[in-house]
Amino acid sequence: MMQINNRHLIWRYLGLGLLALLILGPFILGVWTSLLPTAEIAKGALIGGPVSLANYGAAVHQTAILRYLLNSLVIATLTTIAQVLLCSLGAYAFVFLTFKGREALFYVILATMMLPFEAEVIPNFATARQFNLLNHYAILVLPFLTSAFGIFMLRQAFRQIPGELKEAADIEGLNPWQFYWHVVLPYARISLVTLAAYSFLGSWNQYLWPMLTTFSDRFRPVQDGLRQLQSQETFNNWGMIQASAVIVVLPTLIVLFVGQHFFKTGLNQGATKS
Amino acid sequence: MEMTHKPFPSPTKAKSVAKERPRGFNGHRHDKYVAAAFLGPSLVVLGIFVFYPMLKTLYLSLFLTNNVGRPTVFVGLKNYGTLLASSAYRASFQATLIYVFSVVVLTLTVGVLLAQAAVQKLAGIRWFRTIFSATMGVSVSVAAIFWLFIFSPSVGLLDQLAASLHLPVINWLTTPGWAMVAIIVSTVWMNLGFTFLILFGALQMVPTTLYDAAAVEGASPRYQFLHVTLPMISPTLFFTATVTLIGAFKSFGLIDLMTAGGPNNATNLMVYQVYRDAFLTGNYGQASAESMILAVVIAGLTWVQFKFLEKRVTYE
Amino acid sequence: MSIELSGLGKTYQPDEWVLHDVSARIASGEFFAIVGPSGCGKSTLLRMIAGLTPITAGNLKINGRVVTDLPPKERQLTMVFQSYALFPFLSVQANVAFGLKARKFPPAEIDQRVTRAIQLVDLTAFRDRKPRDLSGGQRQRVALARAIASEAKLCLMDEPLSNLDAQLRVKMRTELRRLQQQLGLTVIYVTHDQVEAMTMADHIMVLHDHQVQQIGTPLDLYHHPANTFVGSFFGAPRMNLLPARVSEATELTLAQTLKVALPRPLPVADYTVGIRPNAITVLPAGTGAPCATVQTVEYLGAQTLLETQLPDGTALELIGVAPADYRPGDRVAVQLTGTLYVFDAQGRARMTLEGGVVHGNDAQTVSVADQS
Repeated sequence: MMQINNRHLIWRYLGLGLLALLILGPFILGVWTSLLPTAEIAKGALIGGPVSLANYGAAVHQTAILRYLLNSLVIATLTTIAQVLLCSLGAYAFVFLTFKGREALFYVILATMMLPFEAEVIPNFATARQFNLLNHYAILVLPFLTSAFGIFMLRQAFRQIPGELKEAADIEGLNPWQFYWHVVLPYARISLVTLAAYSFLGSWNQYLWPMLTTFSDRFRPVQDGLRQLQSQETFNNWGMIQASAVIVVLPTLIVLFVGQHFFKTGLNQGATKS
Repeated sequence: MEMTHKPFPSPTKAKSVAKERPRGFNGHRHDKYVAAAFLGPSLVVLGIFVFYPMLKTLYLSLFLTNNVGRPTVFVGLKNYGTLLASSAYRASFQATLIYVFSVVVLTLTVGVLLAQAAVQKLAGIRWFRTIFSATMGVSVSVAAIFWLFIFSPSVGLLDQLAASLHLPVINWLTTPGWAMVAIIVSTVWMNLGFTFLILFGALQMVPTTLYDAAAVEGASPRYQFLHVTLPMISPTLFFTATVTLIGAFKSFGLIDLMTAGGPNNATNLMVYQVYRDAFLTGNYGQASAESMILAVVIAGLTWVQFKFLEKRVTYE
Repeated sequence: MSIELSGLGKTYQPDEWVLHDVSARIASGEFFAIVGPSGCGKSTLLRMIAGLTPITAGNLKINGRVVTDLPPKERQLTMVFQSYALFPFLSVQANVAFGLKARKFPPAEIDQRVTRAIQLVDLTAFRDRKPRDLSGGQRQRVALARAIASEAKLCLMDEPLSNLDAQLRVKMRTELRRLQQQLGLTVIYVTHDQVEAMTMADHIMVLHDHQVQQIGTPLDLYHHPANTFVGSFFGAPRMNLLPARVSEATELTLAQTLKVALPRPLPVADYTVGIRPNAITVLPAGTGAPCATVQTVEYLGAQTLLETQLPDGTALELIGVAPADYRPGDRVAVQLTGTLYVFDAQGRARMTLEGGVVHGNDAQTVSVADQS
């Protein structure tokens, strides 16, 4: 950048500030109204009224918001662990094992990446009902125990592992499981973490499937829990709804920001000569 | 499932599938048993929850169904015919196209703007980078609630602003055209965090010497943006465009929470239509036909994306 | 196209000078090399001249016009980068035409200039290729062609040959020099490679520790190094730097063994004496001259390099006598027959003793140049 004078600087920061406001606006508004009594919000008095955490207390005590969060945490954690395990096992087979029909099978799995789950909910719902799985954690986890995308991604990562390592392991007499566990997984840990992050987010953000398959607060995950709050008796209790939304968004935002900090540190360490 | 957060598949491509890596001699005889053990669980899950339902959907789409979804009368392609003839379905398809197109164009435009703003070397810029990626951490229902408040009648921010400025108050979510605007804006906002991160990463990968060379050769900042930046990030732009496109076709949560397909079916997008016909009306045969159309559209788009990533060459 | 740097300086943090007080005059049509070890600030200096990095202090004049605060495109110069900075999505000819299009030249003129530039670097057959389909050497030529097409008379080059293999590098040196003379370009050329600078440049600026160490012709720098850094930076094998002491006005003792008579007194103090290996004659042991012990032997074909140690432990590099076979542990006698450079404790040149200087007191000094 050449010769940035002060007037230029002001314009640049002004632009950045506007963009930041565009992104943060809904957050700020959500947090702010979550601190106001619903009566004030209904009157349209967004400024000047009393500010308190009463809505948070109400959300925690009068709604099942914490239970929803717990449900989502359980579902997302199980999904993540299962996906990392099953996808890595599958990818291992495609990279390190030779068997008949390997390439064909891989293409079949690749093809499933093209099929949207949204288009398959009708038979899946029937399956869930048939096996009496409705309204239970199991049905929120079972369809997502593995993912074609995860297998594809980890296969790419495993292909980066030098073939000599496999040969060395063969010479040492490691069995496939030992090689998988002691060499492949540690070697590809960055890809595994990436997959874990996406599995977790993907599960956490699920909406349609849990909406169809859960009917009680005991198993309802948080996305659909918020839907429940918004559509039920609390309708128009804006203060409490906003407080619940903030409760839901806060953990993910914190994880995101902390994660970014680590991410950036890693980048900086990689920086070299100008 | 709202899988808007897809990671960037590495540019190493699917076509190298056929390439064999050199291997030792040990253990080959038993490979197929090990492979069965390692791959089995994944295949079972994919079989039950992906392959079977796809075939079943196709099957159901050829039947009339009873109220619990059992096929009753084989009707061939009649369900599809009914859909194509139905002005309601055509309207839904059209609404989806408008929605998808607007979401993609706006997400990419604002995303590039954010990324371009964030690569500037200024004090405190990392704060802005963090802020710009913030909606990555926002789930669909939180986004819907935040925006619902902004657009909601009378108490909402927009109406209050309009009232205080003596502008006409718009019933955002209950006027067909404006309801569409509202869900487009909300979707774009929710997409921005992810789009920003991907595009920002691409911008950072552009070697700075290219800009140095362009500057020395007399290119203005505008010329540099058009003739260096955009061509350099065009593969990423394409990738982001297809991810956003596919995600937009699958949109459900925001619509369910903000407009429930209304008013007057103005925001009744394809997935929502499937949900309505299957789970509210119990018309499973027709909903299956709708699912098949949705699947074909998305499979086609994904295929284009694959083809492109396969051909995509990393420079140098 | 003359360039004048006066007192140029660069800081990123207050009082941390990346470059300090750099001054030089570069005449029109000159090939001017800036050389120094990595991290010395030479690339920063070049980018300051180009306008890519803002100048913190001092003034820059190009052709008598002050350009210190002008953006790059108004400085009428062109630049060749170490990484070539080719646009990967453009063909060879589009890369060469990039600047002309940005400056909105008429298409006919662009075409004519681009064709000529591509011809000059001998890439006509490759004009429609993308950079990724070219070899390293060809990419380098595309970068050159782009610089040529701009027809700027001042061309800045940032280590343009360092990504090429050794053979190609030698070939390109001659070719660059030829192009520069043919087109009458003024070239400012940054390199870390002293051989490149020596073989190509009319004048060389040596940068080290964020400062100019010396500016001069290649021969100047080799024969009259201003300090120990310049002395040891130029010439291969490297100049030996020996600890020395003047204990009486005209008696200089190197590494506590070799005695040299000074033709003119120097203050009693510690000094450093530089002797290039080719200024030392190796004799068989027992000829009366002081001995060194061979540590390692390196055969280079035409030459044999001996890493030896003087009795006090000081390392001394020597060139062996051709047919003789040396082994580690051998003792050889050394005689100082070439030029000696006397540097003070701060490393600044104080005195040059030319010609053969025999050890001991019967030193015969041919001539002395005072450099303080």
